[in-house]
Amino acid sequence: MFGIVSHGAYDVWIIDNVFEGLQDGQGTATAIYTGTTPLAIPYRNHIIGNIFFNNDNNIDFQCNGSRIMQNIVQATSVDVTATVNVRTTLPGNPGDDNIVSDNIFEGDYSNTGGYIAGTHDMWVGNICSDTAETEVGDNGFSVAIPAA
Amino acid sequence: MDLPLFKKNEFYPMIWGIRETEIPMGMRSVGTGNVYYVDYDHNLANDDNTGVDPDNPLKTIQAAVDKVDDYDFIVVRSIDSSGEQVVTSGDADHVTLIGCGDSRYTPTWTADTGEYCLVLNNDGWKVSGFRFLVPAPSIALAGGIGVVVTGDMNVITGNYFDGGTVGAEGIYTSGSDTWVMDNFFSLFHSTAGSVAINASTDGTKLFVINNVFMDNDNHIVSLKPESFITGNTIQQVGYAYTATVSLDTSDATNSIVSRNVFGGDYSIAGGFEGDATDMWVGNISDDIAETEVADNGFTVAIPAA
Repeated sequence: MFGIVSHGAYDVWIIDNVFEGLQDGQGTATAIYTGTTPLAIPYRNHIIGNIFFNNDNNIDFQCNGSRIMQNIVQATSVDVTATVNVRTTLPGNPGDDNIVSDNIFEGDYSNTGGYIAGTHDMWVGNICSDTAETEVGDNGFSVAIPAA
Repeated sequence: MDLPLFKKNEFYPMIWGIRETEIPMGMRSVGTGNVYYVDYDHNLANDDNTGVDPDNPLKTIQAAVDKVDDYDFIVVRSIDSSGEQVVTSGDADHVTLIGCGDSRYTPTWTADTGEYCLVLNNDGWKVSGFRFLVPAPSIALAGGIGVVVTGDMNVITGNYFDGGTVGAEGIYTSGSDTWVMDNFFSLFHSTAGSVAINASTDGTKLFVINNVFMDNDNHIVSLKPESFITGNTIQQVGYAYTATVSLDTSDATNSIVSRNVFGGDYSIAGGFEGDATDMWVGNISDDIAETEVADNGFTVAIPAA
């Protein structure tokens, strides 16, 4: 079960939507998803101003040169705790050079917590609850991509 | 007995597609303002039409530009796909030019190699809703610009500036008080080094607010004093291109650079350079190793070497 699946289209705008209750009992339902065998990895996609809550996985979207901005991502919801909150890269499907900024992220701001970035992604200026991480300032702003 | 004569202010109902009319009460507050329609693909489109009837629209934007007066509107549904170069002239100021196609940032507006899509010679125009597919410069590396601004107090807001890997410049302004707000700039690249926003020394004050810059050779070069750069997101290392200049206000004075989000090396070497009289406080940067960036990511000084 997916909210939106991409097969690599360019210049797609996903704006001001609510993704809620995507659960399949297997923990694999995902709000926004890039298939494992896309036609090509998405480039210059725009995921802006959306709200994600109560989903098995939120944004599992391997992409290049795209931006994820002004979204609200809830990690622990009433029914489930999301496994993937925001992931822009996979070993077999590497995404990179994305802007992930001005979002609000709940939960563990780390790879373990489901936040996984491309090496050259820019993840600056998100507001995170996890101020214990080195990658998050004591004011809650992220200053680096999530670490292990 | 003579009673005082009262006359209520006239009101005007909102018009679909005219954003300026979307105010509380659904009414326009000004009586002036004819609306001209441009729809190149319409069967009855003709530049000999009056242009005020959407069922008998004008064929070109230039024809509408040549008809407008102060405070008029131009609604553009479609443009010649091969492009159109439009130049404003005459006395018409404060005209609103709106792209009103079938989806976000449409219609697409392009021009021939070495040309400009739009030249704003007048004052107070507002341009929104278009995707500027910016052409390449000529062999002499001239032109290839989305919007050229020579007038004052012009507002360019809510557009998509697509360099298409060949465009030379998104916006070039030699006017004063140019407002560039809520736009997206991407893929400005050429052999000479393209730039998304280029502001010359002529005039003062460039306002760059809430834009996003990614995958350009250079992002913002402003030679105008007393400029205001705020709320922008600037990516240094893009997927296709790494920016040489991310933001340079060093050849002007007294600019305010605040509340932006900067990726990459916050230093002159990294493409961030200000003047000593500038204020670069309160931006968020990931380069917390610099003395000019606090541990929490906030900038506290202009970038250093």
